[in-house]
Amino acid sequence: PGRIWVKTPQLIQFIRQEVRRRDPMSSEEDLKASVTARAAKVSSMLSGDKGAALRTALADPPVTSKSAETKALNAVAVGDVITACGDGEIEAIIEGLSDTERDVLMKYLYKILGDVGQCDKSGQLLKWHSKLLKKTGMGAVVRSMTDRKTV
Amino acid sequence: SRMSAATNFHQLSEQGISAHAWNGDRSMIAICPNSNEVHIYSGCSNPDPSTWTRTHVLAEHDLLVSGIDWSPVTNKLVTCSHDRNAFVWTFQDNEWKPSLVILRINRAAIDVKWSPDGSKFAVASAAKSVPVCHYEESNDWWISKMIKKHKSTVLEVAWHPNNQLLLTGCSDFKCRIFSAFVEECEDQLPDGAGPYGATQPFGELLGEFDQARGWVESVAWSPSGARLAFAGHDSSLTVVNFQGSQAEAHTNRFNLLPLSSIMFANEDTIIGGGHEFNPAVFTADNSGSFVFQRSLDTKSSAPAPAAASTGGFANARAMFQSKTTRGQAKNDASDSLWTKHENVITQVTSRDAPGAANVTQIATTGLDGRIVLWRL
Repeated sequence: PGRIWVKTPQLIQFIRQEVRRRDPMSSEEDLKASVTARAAKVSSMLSGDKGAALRTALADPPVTSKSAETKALNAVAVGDVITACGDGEIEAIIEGLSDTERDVLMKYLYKILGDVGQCDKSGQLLKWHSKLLKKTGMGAVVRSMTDRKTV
Repeated sequence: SRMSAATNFHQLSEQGISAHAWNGDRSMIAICPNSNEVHIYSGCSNPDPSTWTRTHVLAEHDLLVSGIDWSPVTNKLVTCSHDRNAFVWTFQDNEWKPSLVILRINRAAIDVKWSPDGSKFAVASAAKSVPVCHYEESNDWWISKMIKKHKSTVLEVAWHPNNQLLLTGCSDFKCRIFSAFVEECEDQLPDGAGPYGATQPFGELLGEFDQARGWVESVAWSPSGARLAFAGHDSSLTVVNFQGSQAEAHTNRFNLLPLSSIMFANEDTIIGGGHEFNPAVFTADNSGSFVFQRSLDTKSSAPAPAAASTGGFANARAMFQSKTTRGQAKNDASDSLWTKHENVITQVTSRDAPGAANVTQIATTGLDGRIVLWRL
């Protein structure tokens, strides 16, 4: 929650210009670089705290990117954490996520489930899905369908 | 068992109810039973809807009647339809007479609302515009002025209590506030009369909110007009509080399925009905954001009747049938449809006096054709 300016048409135009001028992540190369760095960091965390690894992987997904490869790269990072976790750890890890992170996780579960090339992971993903659904309810599923900014 | 807040319900139509509106004293209701007709029932002060009698049928439209509103001030009905028309109905000589409305839209009309003083009405249309119509005495018709600036179908409109600000929810994922000041109907307001100060010219875009990540299906003002709320199809409810010229927005992305229709019961309570088939109550917490408090419909805790044991073969057969049709081994009674509504709730309205600051009686209608009356 935060204070917002009443968006008159002039203010909307001003905001758009400012965002284009200031946003350091607006270029595809920057997004790809940050995703690659994150994937490397997540791999290094997999031997330690898997919950923290998942939170790192889910933070700031590249939704503004127009490149399918960048998005796939981030999905691989998330998928690696999911397959690295044992069945007993799933509930505790989901418990430690914030509401926004759970929404993003739901989106990634559907994305990876929808990828035919990764169908060997589907058993694990479905276990995660049922446990996450218990926590978030149907709202997160609806949001993964309606949100135009896809992960 | 804990009593459900539903006081009564009735199957008014077999095909669903696309719109409904109460008259000023809530003794009559106009509904559209998902057809091109409008049915008016009287005797609605009686809490049992099965006693209500149908007194009039209005059949001027050619396609589905998508919106009905009844002004408590002038007692006129306005109906709008997918046939791109709207009619204003006046009760004379014991029958409802339609008046011509020049809407000037080339797509379906989705929703219609009278302004608080009954002098004009706004229509949400699929032509990406909102015609605001007022009466022209010289030609005996209702003529429209267009509010454009939408990028897609406008799904719902809501008037501010000051009669000049119009809130619109659009399927381009945005909620907008416009000035709908019509000089033929009213005087200009001084500064401080509402969230945006003095009267702005007709059609001016005063604010745009993009917190919803899905269609903005329903919009509403609080009774005082100091708050507005809109429900998005991404299962979100955003409330904007106005303090002077500042606006503060809080978005709640909740766990339920999306809401289709919301209304303020009072300044701090929002009732929403939607795809859960169960009206949900959201209340304000200290920080000004609205959180889910409870659902109005509750399952009665009476135990399900024990299934008669009819022998091993029948049981085994039932188990396999259940596995193929429902995906689970036993026929659990708790999975059956227990809510009063058996399909999506499409409209939530107040049954208390118009403009009441605290609403305790509401009615909901939905695609199942039922009307359910609730007491909060």
